[in-house]
Amino acid sequence: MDSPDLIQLIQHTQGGDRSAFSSLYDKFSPALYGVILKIVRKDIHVAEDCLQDTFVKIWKHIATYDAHKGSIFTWMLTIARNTALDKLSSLNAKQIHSMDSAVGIEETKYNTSLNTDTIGLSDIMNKLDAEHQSLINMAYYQGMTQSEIADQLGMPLGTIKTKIRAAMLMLRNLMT
Amino acid sequence: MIDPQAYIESGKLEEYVLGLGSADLMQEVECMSRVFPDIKNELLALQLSLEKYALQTAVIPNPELKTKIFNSLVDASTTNETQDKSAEKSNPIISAHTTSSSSDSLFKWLLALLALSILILFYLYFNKSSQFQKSMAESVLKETAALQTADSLSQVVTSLQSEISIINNPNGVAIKMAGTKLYPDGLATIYWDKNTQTVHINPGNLPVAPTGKQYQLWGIVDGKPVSLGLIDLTAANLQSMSPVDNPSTFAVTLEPTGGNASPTLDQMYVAGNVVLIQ
Repeated sequence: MDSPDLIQLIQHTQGGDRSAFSSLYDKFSPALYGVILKIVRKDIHVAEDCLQDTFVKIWKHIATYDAHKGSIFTWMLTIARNTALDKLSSLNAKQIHSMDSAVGIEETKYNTSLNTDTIGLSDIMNKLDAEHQSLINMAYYQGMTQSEIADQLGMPLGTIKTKIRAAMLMLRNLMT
Repeated sequence: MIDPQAYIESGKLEEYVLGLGSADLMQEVECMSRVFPDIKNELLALQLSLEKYALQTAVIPNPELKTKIFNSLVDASTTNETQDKSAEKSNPIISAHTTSSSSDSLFKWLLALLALSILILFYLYFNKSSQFQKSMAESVLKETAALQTADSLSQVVTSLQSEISIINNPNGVAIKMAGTKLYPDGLATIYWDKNTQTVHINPGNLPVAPTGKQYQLWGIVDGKPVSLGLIDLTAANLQSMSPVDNPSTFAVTLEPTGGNASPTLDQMYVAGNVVLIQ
């Protein structure tokens, strides 16, 4: 459940309050930006476009946010993820590849890690073994379907389904 | 009967939170999580773990980007009306709200009907007296017609009065059942008396059931669906259904004529949670 303060921010934003929305931006933009960067493979220009589109959509549609279906963060993550995946599929892979080298340096400039949010991060990432981590990444960050993952890894679909469930359970146990 | 635990272990919830599912799966999971609290809790836990996972890769965006984004926002005031509408529509669980608006409109109906019946009686009366010279048989016929009209109007008034008493019942809880993805514009209302457990339904805008199908009302009690009877769309505004003790949710599904032993979840049209305001 979202905290009362957060619920209040959401309600004020739903009422058109820009300063409340500004607080929501400060709170969630780093996480959303991080997810977007992972999806668009660290292309900073595309990522900034996506972040902008994401927050424009959030502002426009926040009235439709339904707390019964999940937290505001999950709702925003879904918007950010879909926006980035859509953007990615509309760009051709070659363009992205050629931009990669150009943005490598610029990217580090604002690549400030969030120490408060990332305490224990390396431990958790280490505990989630490589296979499980890459399955979650393929599904969540690359937007691959289970069949596509199965094809890429040369494994039966049933095996992939079992492994993805195991990976999510592992993640869940590590995060709680 | 659906076993929530088996459903949790099916892997569908993981597919849902990772965005891997088809539109059908998304709808199914949303319906299931609405009906079974255990499934909803599991879903929220999975979403929370992905949230925490996302936090670990957080990167602070360029501060100038914030200014740029905020400059590009269109003020909500210009789009408030549509937003309000969509908010209402997308919020499937509007519970135990005040019933004043629906009873207000019923009162207006009642007043309009009374005014109409008085007008009709006056008309018939004056009509009758102006034709007094005409044959007695004719005026007797008209008088009978007038009495019949008044009689049927008074029946309507009586039935409206009984509906108003159900709606205004101080122990009553009104539960708006909003449309599912299957029927997003759907809206039907349950009036549940928490003392006597009686249930009435206003089927709202449920579409005409196809041949061989019928709507069935379910109450979810302790996580299990209980049939509260079949809905007759041709009946009066408010229909009496089977009483139910302590339901958490009401839902309507489309089932084969005669009803089903357990609900067909992908045929859920409207649903709403019971929230008791202390």
